[in-house]
Amino acid sequence: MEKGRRKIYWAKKLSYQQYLQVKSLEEALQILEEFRGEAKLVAGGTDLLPQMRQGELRVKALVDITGIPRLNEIRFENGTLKIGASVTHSRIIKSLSVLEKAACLWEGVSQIGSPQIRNIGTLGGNICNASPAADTVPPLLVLEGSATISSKQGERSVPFASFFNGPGQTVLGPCEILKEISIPEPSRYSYTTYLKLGRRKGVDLGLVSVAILLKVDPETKVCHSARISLGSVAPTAIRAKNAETLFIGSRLSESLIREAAKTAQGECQPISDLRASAQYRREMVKVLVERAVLQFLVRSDGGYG
Amino acid sequence: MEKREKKKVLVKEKLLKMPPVADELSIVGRSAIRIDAYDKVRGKLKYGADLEYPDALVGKVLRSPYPHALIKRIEIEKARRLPGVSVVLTAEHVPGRNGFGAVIPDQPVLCGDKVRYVGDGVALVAAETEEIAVQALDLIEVEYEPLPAVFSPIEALRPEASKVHAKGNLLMTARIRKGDVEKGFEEADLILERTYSVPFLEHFYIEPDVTCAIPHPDGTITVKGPMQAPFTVRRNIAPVLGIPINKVQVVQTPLGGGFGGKEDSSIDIGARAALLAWHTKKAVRMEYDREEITLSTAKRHPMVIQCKIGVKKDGTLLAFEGRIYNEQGAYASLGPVIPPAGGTHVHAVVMLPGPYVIPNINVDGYLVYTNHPYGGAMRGFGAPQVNFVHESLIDELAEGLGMDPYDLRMKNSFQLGSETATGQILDQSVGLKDTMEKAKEAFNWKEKWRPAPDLEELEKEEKRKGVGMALGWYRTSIGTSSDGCGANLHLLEDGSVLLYQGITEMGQGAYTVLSQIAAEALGVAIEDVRVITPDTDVVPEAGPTVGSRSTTLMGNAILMAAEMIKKPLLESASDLLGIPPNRLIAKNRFIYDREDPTRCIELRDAAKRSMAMGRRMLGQGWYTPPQPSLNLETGQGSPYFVYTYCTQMAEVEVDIKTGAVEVVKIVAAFDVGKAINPVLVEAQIEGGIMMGLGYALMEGLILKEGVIQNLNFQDCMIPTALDAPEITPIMIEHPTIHGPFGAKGIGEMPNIPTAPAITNAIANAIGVRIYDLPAHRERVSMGIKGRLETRI
Amino acid sequence: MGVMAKSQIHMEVNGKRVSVEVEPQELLVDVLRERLGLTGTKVGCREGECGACSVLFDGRVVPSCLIPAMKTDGREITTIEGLEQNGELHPLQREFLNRGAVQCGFCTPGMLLSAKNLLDENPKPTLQQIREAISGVLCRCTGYQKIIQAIQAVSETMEGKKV
Repeated sequence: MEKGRRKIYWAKKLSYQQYLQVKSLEEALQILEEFRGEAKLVAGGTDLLPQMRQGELRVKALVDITGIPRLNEIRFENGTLKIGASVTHSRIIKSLSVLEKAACLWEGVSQIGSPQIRNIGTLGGNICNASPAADTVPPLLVLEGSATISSKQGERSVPFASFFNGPGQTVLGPCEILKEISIPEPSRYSYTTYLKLGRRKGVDLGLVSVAILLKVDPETKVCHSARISLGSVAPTAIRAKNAETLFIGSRLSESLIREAAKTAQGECQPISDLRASAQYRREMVKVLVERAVLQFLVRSDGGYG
Repeated sequence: MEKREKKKVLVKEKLLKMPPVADELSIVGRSAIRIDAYDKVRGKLKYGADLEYPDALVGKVLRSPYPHALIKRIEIEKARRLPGVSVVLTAEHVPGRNGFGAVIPDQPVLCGDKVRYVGDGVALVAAETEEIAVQALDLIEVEYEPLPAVFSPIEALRPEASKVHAKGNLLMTARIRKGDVEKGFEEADLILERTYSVPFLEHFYIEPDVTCAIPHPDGTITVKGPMQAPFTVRRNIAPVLGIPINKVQVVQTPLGGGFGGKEDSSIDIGARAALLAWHTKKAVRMEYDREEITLSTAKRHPMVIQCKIGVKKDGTLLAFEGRIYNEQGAYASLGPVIPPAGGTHVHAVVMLPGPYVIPNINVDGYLVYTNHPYGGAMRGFGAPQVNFVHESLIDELAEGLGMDPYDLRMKNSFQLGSETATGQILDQSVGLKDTMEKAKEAFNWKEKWRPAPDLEELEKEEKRKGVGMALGWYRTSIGTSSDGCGANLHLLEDGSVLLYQGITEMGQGAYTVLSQIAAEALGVAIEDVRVITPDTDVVPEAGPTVGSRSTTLMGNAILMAAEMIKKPLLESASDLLGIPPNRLIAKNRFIYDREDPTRCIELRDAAKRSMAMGRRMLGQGWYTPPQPSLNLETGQGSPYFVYTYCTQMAEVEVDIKTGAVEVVKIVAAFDVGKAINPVLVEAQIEGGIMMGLGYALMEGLILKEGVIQNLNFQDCMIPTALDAPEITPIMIEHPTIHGPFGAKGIGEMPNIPTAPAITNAIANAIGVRIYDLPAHRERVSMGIKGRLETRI
Repeated sequence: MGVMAKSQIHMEVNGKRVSVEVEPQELLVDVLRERLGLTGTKVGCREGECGACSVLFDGRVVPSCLIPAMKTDGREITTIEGLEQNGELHPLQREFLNRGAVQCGFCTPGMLLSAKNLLDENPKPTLQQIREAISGVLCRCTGYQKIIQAIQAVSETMEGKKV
């Protein structure tokens, strides 16, 4: 938005005309179809309403899906953690299942906003807003989670690795709803974490964030699996695949970690904006990757390398 | 008769518990619970936006999207014809003077020929609902012809630069010429030359600006809303409407924060609402949105300051040279001088050399218009900017000399009898060195301080702690010759009191403190005093609630008013007790014989007697502080009659890899003259320090081509509870003869030296000096990187 | 402009059942302030960032400036006016009063309700948890010190009893 040239004013009243609360997915899908792309799904509204206020979004109707029971469940079945799209961040933080089975997602969600925001903001909302700085996405990438998308044609599953097309853009069509987030429980001896760097200790969007998943054999100390995801340093969160391959099959050591962090640095494409410069972001990718992995070294029994 | 005897016995018992010394203060000096807190914790206090005006129209401003442009054409017909729109106004609809401003009325109520900054007001709409008003804004067509714009003082001072105002971009200059700096530098063993910069800051008071203008059939108009200077608002609105000042009534509502911003944002929103009300003949309510406030209202002046300082190797300061490029922005607001020493610019110039004895000083300050939002009053009024400079400079100087920065400061700092940069002799109430010693003790400075790390230490650590300190001094009141203020005090026949005064309550606790002073002076309880809302039709001229002047100046006016009633009151008591008035003391609702406290009556009985005898029960005080003086060419004179002093010490921990700075603790000692209400003073200290912390680490507007990029709380950071350190406030009292019970101001002092205390601590932690605020994580990180690369 | 169908919503506000007819675009903060006269809840930014509009929504603190009123049908809202009971101040309110934790008072309702939510869920919070709980309410006056001390004091005296 060219801030300097458009009319400058803000209004209390947002531009949508209808607020429709639905009780089922079918109802929601029906309405989406009727409005032909001019309706937007809303859950917590913590991103949507401010965007509408700034004039970045104009829709005819908001479809509130927080009343759909299925979207509010957290279940664990067949080795998969399933979180409904309308589950609030607060509920996720209170969930022992999430803490135990998807620690880095738990950590990401706990760093979103303030208690006020977390009490109404939802996992689905954070994902679909698709900010390059979203705190839920790097964790979902390293956990290799997938999205269950509902439409009138049925359901399809899309891994989060393929879910995002660009800043604010997902694969969701205008008549599709993100129903559920599925996360396969990481195998034994996996360690995950999420680190985020903001501009102050208080609530902030991430300047840079990192999620990692490491699986290290406790006997041989060899790393069998390494997944590194970087947030806020590319149009969408990305996996630092080159850095990951350095770990696999090797024993963790400080020098290896430094090398991998440097490699990860080369895989990101940060921009300069009012929050930080590209150069700083690039530097911080290295720092956060190092820290995330070194944290693991410190936490686990004995040292490595 | 019997009942009276019983009463006397009870009274006697109560009095026996009183302190033996008759002259001891019983209310002043106590941490009384603030009088408005009860309604505030219940959510019952009505702020400006909470008031109902059932038939009021909604007003909105159409603002310029260009930083500098001619207005070729404005088309308002379509907007006017929209159903529900009452009026659409442009510059031609201003009946009187199309200009307002706290010092110079150079800001158009509505721009006619050109706009000078993004956000400048171009048209006004009044409509039945906000929705309709916004639609009307959409229908107004304005054709602009962009002009080249200037975005920095240095740019604006070039001869070929585009002119913001016809008279030129240099609004004013102020100088200090003292001694012989050339000679001073010649004799110096160490000289430092540095350049510093500080950004635009926004007050971010949590309560947005709001006002309601209500026109009356008799040709008068009432304007009601949160404001720091009701009388300034009144004297600006009257000429805009072309009516005499006595036809404008300005009523203040409780403020949800001001910090200097509501000193002139209230003129802006008040004048515009009043103009709409004038035309519509109906009440018009106007509320600015958060982004609108950041966009268009006054800010803290950004400055670029070049300095040179010279010192002998034993630490004696010899010479100081400074050049301030002070960015005024599009309009004058509170930048230029209000004679002789008022206004932000003069204040900054005069304070730049710091609270140190320096025999040779040259300062040149240029106040320059640009096409940016304008600088106005913000807590500290130029002092935080220059304090950052002199405290950073002297700290670096200490490093250069191999001295503990505490010792270098102690050697040169002001004490009783010192001469300031303006040649003023500080003849009373100078507690600076005392604050240094108290802070040093509480902070354990000598244990904690060690020199900054060398490269080796820096390279091997992840986090490093450091300590830093800064001294501050700040005037009480504003240095203008028009600095008077009045108070009326009315004692009623039952012993209750009405206090009519115009200082505004914005959270600092003014109403409580002034009530305490009134109660102490009269001998009533604090609950007996009712503060009448500042209403310009009812209370005497008070001047603005700024410059840390309220307690001292209005407190004095109240004491004078109380004196007028006290004498006749004691005469009445004397009638009843049969004891000469000069032996009587009034305290805590009783009047008693100083030599035999059991001989007493209730104050209310004396009040009743005064009423019955037609004695004076109305007192009026008018206080004019000692006249300031300042020669703008030489910067010599006594610009402010007394100063508050403080020392702040900060401990930080720097994350060397990310540049994140955590402020672990701050100890701050203040010489306040007299703490009328210690808890309220503490609260001001703690709040001010947080603002200073924000200045140090995270605040600042980012502008690109004249457009502010970070308008709201998400993009522009201010400190949250998670950013708060442990704060230890210390109060010391070196009373001033000019203040009630010795009191000096406190409102602004706390947020002045915090930023350099923190940046000095950062330098101590990592050996990297910060020359530009804020020291956000990226800046600190890049500084560390730079040091590691250059191997210094 | 289109048809703006109003809806009747029924909610419980501060223990009382309330019915209001609202437009789809009306936000909870404006319904509370303008329709129900409960002006204790404040507007500071309309972006959910400053916390001045905080209310309790089924017991949890939320930014009422981001909640369309229609979402509140069938729910329980507690505003600052509902904190006192039978004219008796809540212990948090008393501590704020006694400790000088109130200056301009504009953030005070948001602070009190955030603190209440915290103590309801976690009666013995650590210092860090207290800071976290009020991190969504911005205060420009107090520096947060006395507010944190007041909350700590209440948690200590309440000994785990629900407030």
